[in-house]
Amino acid sequence: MRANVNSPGYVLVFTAALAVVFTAGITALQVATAPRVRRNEALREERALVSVFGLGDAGRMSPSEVAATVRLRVERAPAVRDPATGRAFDLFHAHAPGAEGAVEAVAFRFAGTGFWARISGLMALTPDLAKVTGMVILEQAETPGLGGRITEAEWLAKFKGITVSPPAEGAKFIYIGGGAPSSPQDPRWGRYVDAITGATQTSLAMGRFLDENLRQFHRAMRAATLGQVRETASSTTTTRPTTTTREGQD
Amino acid sequence: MPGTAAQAKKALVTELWDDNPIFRQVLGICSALAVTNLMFNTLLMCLGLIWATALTSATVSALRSYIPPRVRMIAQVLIIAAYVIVVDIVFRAQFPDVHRAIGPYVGLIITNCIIMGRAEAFAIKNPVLPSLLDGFGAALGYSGVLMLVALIREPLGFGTVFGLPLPAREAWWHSWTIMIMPPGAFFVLALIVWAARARAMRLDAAKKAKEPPK
Repeated sequence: MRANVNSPGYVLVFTAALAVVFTAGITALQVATAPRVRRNEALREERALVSVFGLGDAGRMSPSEVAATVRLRVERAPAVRDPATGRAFDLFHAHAPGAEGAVEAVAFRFAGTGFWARISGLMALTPDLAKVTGMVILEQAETPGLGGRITEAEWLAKFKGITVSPPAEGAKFIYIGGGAPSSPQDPRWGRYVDAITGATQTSLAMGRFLDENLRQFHRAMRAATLGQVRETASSTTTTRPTTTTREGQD
Repeated sequence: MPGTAAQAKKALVTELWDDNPIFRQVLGICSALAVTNLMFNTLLMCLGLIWATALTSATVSALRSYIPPRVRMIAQVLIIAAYVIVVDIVFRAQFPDVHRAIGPYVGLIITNCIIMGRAEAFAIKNPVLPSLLDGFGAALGYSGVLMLVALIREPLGFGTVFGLPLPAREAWWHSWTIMIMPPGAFFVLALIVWAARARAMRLDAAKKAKEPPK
């Protein structure tokens, strides 16, 4: 009844058939779950937006509440690009409820290298980009219990209200760790967040790349605003090509 | 087929305790170290492993007279990989947060020595039901040890059990970071293997002492 299981033909056919059957099964499952996986990813970003803009307790809200809140209050704006480095930043606007609600806050996606691996998240700012209104971490692989605590609400809450407007020359946008400033003359005044105990390297890394991200983001926003102004100008008058760019301060 | 039921039961019990993959065979240690700092993640990992081991053993057994001996390991790896990828896909769809935390290790179930070990040592030459139970028992025995390691690591490392904070966490407990890190698993696992083996040796000695001297 059985073919010679050792003949090369049988071996080939058997192996091929086994591969086809199992691969087909897996492919079918993959295709069947793809919409759900996409929904999960979208929901993750929506939850992050709800929590960074402080629109509700994202952890307790149902997926449909989260989606509805984001649809009502948040708008994805065109990405802005830093002219100096070419880096693009995802940009989101939070609106007051209502059809033509004013922009209440803007958020951008930051990213950088932590102690072990890439860290990314969203930072929400007041519309004038001067103060932080919220922050969430989207991805990180820092040491659990130490650097991993950057995702904890207590630490992220410390960013609320700190100043991140362009600083004086030579100073940074934001400072993490190294002792709280004691006088308003200190350039770190109003821009300081405590480091996480036991996670010095993660805290230093975050201080470094958040400063860099904020610098680039401010430059990108200024370039976007200038671009808009230029567009309106060139549509009304014929302007000669501008060659001067303002980046001296950075 | 007389004796199949007894054989099946024996396969299950032997793998579950007497030949426990971790205590006696010290197999599959890699994932035991990696995923056991949170009980919920460990539980899902264990369910994935039980599913993959039991079904691989059953499938290998069902196909045992059709698998050409010279490519049997290739066939086994293919079968294992298929079942493990199913686990990976289901986790990604149903438990995205856990998948982010343990995703890379789920894929590594494929290389877990227990699965192929049971397929090679048992399923390839035994009927389907005993093979299924053999794989199930081996994975269950493995899972029991992993859950025990997690039950020690999570409370000591995070002050929680299944993510629920223990009262002591707020009051006076200071979490041991070492328990969250892989070295913590080495310590806990070594202590557990030590305790289990010491007990097994004492039982053996007691049994020998009862037997009349020859």
